[in-house]
Amino acid sequence: MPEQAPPDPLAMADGSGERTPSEAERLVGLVQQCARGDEDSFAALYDALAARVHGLALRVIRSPEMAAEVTQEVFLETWRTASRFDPSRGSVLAWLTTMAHRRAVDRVRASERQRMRDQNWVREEAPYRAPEHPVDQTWTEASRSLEGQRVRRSLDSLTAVQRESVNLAYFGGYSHHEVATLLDLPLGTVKTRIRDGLIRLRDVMGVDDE
Amino acid sequence: MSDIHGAVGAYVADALDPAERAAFADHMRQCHLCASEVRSLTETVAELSAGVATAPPPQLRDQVLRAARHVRPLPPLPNQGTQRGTESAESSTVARPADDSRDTERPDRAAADRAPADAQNTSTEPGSRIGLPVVGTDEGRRRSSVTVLRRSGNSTVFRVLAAAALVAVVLLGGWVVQLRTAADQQQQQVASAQRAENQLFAAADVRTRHLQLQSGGTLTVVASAEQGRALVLGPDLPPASPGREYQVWLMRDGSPRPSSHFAEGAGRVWLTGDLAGVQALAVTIEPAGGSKAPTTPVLGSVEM
Repeated sequence: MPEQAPPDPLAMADGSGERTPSEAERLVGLVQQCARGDEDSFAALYDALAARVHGLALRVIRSPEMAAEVTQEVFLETWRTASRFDPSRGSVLAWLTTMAHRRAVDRVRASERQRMRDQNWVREEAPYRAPEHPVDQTWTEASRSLEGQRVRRSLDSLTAVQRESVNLAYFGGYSHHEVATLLDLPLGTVKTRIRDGLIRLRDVMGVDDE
Repeated sequence: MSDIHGAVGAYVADALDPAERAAFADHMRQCHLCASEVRSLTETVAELSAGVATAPPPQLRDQVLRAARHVRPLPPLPNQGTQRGTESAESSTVARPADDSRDTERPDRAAADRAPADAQNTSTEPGSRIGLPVVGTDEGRRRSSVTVLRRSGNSTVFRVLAAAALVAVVLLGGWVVQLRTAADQQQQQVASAQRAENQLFAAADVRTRHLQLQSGGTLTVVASAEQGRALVLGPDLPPASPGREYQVWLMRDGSPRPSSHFAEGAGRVWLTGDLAGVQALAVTIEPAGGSKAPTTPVLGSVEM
């Protein structure tokens, strides 16, 4: 059992800045061990990715309790369905963050939750109809780690509209209809900006899946 | 057509409405360009999570690891990894405690397999069997030893001895059967409890809620609205004082309906009562046996 998972989540975020193929492979190995019921590997997987999963859920939902619940659900689902994970279809990181994001978004979309989240948003920040604020928020959070700086540089390379669209949709958890209303843009434009914004990010960050 | 291609970004960012999402997922099954773009952009947004990495509360780690012990990893799909089909099917069984223990159980099982035959034969006509020709290997073997005894010594004494020995064997066999049955029943109960829990954990709409109690400790509620069931776990819950129990209340439109009560959270407790339309759960301390309405202040509550 490789024991190189740094327990400190921030150190992890830094370390993953140099996300080498071997780190991605290590995560695949851990998932495969989970499929066989290996609890140590599950713990190592948790240590490697909990901060990512939790941070993303927290960013979208804003409620620490619900973010912790989503984190728990994501990891238990990973444990349960580890044997169904197919490395040829994507990375372990993408698998977990996709689950976390979708569950987080499902929660904020439920109308009861929407109300609470909007209250938190208003309380913590300026009125959310000013799109600069969510963007600034992400800037602050993004500067926390080296990896974050890489994300920040990538986001810097987007046009303002691309950045706002991606931010509100991905980190804000808003539907493209809501983003269009928030930015006062036609729906088609928002769709396009989200897509070309993400494509630009992909090119800048040099993420490629073969 | 080109319109639906344009939804790739919104799909990856989970920004589509459910109907749009379903339509796009349908489209993606036929359009491998979209599928491959979704794949690569999914990796891109996954990297964005580095910008917001935040450690979860430290106690969550323990909680997640402990909860995983109650969730059985699924076996691989049959068509998965064709070149190692049998190998993966083999390795998946490692996660199953029942299979793991099979080897150590085998001697015991062999005894149990034999035992019913003994028990059946003798229960019909216990005494008459001695000295009579018997079909069946074990009986035969036993009888031959009886025959040897009879030949070498004086019949009555040995007949009595042999009868006693046989009775002992029969009793022992019966005892093994009983043990075996009890163990089987227990195993079945554990298995069916495990099955019920697995079904809940596997529900498409399964949700986990944490309920902090002012008195200390946390209750975890695992619930599925679809299945109308909820399980309460509280591994670190301090035991209630003597003569007292924790009681869960189902809150509907602000009024509490009594549900399960328990003295400590060590076990797992299914919530009783109709869970449909329950908006929140609350917990109080009540006299042992539970109350019809709360008699003490609420220790904690959580929205469902």
